Amino acid sequence: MLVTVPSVTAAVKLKKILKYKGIGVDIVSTPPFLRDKGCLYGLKFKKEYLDRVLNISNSAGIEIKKVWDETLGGNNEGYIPR
Amino acid sequence: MRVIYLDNAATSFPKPPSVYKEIWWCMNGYAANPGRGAHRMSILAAEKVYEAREELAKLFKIENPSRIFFYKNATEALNTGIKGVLRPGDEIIISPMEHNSVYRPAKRLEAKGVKVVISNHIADGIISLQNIKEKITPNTRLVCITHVSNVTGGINPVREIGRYLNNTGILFMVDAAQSAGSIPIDVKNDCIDILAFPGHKGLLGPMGTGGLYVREGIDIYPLLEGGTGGNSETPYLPDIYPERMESGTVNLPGLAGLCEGTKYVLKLGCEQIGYYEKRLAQKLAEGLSTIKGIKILGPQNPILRSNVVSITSEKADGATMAERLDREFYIATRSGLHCAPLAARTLGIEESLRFSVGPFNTEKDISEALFAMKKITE
Repeated sequence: MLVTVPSVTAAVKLKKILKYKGIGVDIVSTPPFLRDKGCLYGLKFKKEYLDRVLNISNSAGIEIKKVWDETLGGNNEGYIPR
Repeated sequence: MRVIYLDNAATSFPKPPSVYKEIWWCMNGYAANPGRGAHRMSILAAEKVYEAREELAKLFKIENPSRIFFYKNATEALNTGIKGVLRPGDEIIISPMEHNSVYRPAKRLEAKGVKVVISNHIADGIISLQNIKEKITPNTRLVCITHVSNVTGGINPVREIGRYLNNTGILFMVDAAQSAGSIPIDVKNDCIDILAFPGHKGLLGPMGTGGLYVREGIDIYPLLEGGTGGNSETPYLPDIYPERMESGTVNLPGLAGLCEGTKYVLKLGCEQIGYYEKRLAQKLAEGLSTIKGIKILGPQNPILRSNVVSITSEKADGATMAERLDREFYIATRSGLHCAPLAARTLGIEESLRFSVGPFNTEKDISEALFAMKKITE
């Protein structure tokens, strides 16, 4: 799974919080089809963590721009509207 | 010959060993551009910058580290704070002891319709809440005061003023150039809306670092526009903090050092460092006051003074004394106006000689400084 966040600071902050909660993530560049305004950072993690990641980011006040499930397709087929 | 460094109000020296080590490691191991890529080195760099924000947030009791913005010094932070919130028709109240880094940006805004009001002081440059209250008008938008005077070391009652201004609609900005790292600052309890601080003085980081905290909800515009590492397609700055306030590449090696300096301060304790420096400064002040012709500037009560001791002498001017201390005794001090002509006018002096103590000074340094001063003024 991949969620996009608005900035590198948001990505680093969320990664730290998730790590503290026992969820391992990688910070990555987002594919072009997931960007609506220039570069975005994304956090990649196992699908089973999706709900927790969304809840934790919400509690931390970190905006999740988009959610993408890479297993659903190699392009924007995997985009999950929220 | 070992130099006795008593110019910590200009910049602290030396730094803790962990600061040097981290800067070296950063330059050699992870000095990629934070926020300008997603490769491992860049992420490592971004993580270090965020760690620096977190450490500073711990120190100043700031809830959201993303509300700390990094600049090259306190001057840039103060300019950003002052120019970023004031609009034509607003009034700013400053103390009569302000450094030029507050006085000049404020005066510059007069051309844009901002009124600069200088408060009175009770004595020796120290201001009271009443001094501020009596200058407030319906147009007052910002009160900006120095926490500790860089000329006298006099400590202003920040908490009392902050608590009074809280919920009045008037923003309270504090210049912590001389207090950050040696006097506890709690932005929430002190009701500070905007806090400017240098990284290279009491926080023991390298030169080229400083920062600004701005409370959430305050509408502030940065001095610079440019690349922010994200939202690049829009011609305007994104509404994302801290990126909105930090266009361009940040000083990663400097911030890595600042991060370690702040950790050092947190480990030792701000209060403990302040107490230690104050004790040495008091010893110095007591010794100097026994030398004929020397006058100690600012508050005489040591409770109201920090690590700074400034003097004038009937026997010699500040520049001559500073030069002799350096050339003959290897003692580093500073003379002149200390970039604070407003303070000099307030104190009725033309210049002074300033000693400023740091956490690495010792009793022996103070004894040697006193010995040197006796020789110079005999």
